[in-house]
Amino acid sequence: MKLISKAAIVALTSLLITCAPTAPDMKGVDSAITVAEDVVTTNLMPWIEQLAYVRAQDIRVNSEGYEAKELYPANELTRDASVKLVQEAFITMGYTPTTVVLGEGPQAAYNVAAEWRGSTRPQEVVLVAGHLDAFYAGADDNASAVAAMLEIARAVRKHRFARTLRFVAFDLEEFGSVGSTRYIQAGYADDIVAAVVMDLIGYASTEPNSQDDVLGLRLPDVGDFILLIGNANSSEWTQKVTALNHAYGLTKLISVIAPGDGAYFLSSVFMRSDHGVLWYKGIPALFFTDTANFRNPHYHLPTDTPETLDPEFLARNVKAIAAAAALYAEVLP
Amino acid sequence: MKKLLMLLIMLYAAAVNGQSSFERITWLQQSGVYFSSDRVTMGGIGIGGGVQFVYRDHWTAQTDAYILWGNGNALVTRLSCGYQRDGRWQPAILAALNLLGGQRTEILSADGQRPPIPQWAVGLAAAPLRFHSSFGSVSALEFGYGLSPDHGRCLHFTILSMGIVW
Repeated sequence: MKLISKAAIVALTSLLITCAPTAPDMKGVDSAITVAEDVVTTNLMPWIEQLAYVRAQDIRVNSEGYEAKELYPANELTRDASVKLVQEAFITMGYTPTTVVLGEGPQAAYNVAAEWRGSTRPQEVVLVAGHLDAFYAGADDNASAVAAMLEIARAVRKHRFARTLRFVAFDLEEFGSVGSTRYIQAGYADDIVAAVVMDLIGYASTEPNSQDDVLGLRLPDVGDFILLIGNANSSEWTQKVTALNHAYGLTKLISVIAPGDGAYFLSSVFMRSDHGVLWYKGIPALFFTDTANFRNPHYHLPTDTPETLDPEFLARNVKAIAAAAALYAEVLP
Repeated sequence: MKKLLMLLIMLYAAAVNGQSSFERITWLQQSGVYFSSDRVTMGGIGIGGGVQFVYRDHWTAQTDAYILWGNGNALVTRLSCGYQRDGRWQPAILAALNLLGGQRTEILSADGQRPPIPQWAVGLAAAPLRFHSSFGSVSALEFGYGLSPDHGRCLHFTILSMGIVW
């Protein structure tokens, strides 16, 4: 008994001393940053303003089956005008977008996709995504991400990548990630090897107590950072993006790794967007967010308008997100 | 903090190895832990077991380990030593070292490093409803509170534990 006790004590003491953190691998970081440098930050707010404008005149999506509640105005969802705007934006950049219609009737999902084909491993796809459906003007939720996706799509055309970059604006996220779920179920995600998903990335505040804690996570009380969330499958990529961001001072970033696939009680709040279904499928995915209703007082309200966003904060975030996508897609010389 | 941790380990070792005339109790328990620091959140509710050594009726050292579900699968080991009342009702107060491993939510450092594992916390634990007979022991509603680096807090509770004397 004494021997066992001594052995246990030695083992535990050794464990405490030896389990030191490890630094992430920095391979590919220098070339990924060149993509971030090509992001034109002044392109972002005009997209958001256009989306807010067209949504004001758009017809509402049939919300049958979805009960409207406080902070969930199901009967105020629009998407048709946003679909058209994203399609036209891709065409203007030189892409040939496809609109993948999934489901039938008034709640069919219209996912708009465009690809920048990889040079050496084109069959491996890196997804860059955000949802295009929105309540009211939806400036932060989620015109901010659509604008980011469009600007990254424009910026990457100056570069060659090993892997294919696929940009997808998912539909009906607000009805429970309907567009992305159907996209995966229909087999469109079978060639996706990694994903970057954005949902609300443009609201910041420097006021004390402007940031609430997210369940299972202790955050600073000033909401001036972008949250990057990975899971076990994307942990190394999360580390690498964090190191890249730190090395180049792109944005104020807080990075989190959720346990396993992320679908546990204390981390379930991290599943609240289209990346959640990718995590379920085992696809490494990074999720960028300003934490939505844990910070933004305009969340799902008519006041979620472009003037409430912080353009500089958004611009810094888009550079970091562009670098994250480029890192996985592997920039070629 | 590290000196305190080492002192606790040494006290535990001394309590276990000090004398040959001690009583041993092995038990099963239902426990829960919530650990939260600036870098790590982990814990949940689960089951486990432990061994208790009692020296001269009052001095006790115990080791318990359990698996928790709630934020993935977390593993917790606890080394404790302290003082208990003699008799049928044996409330105890213990100093405890908690070592936490397994799945958790992590916040990375600015340069991308993950927090070290295991996380640890030192603190106090109380067992106000611990009862003992010549056959075994029953304890309900034990609770503990510990501190760890990065403003860590570790809340521990045991709903029920049942053990046998051997």
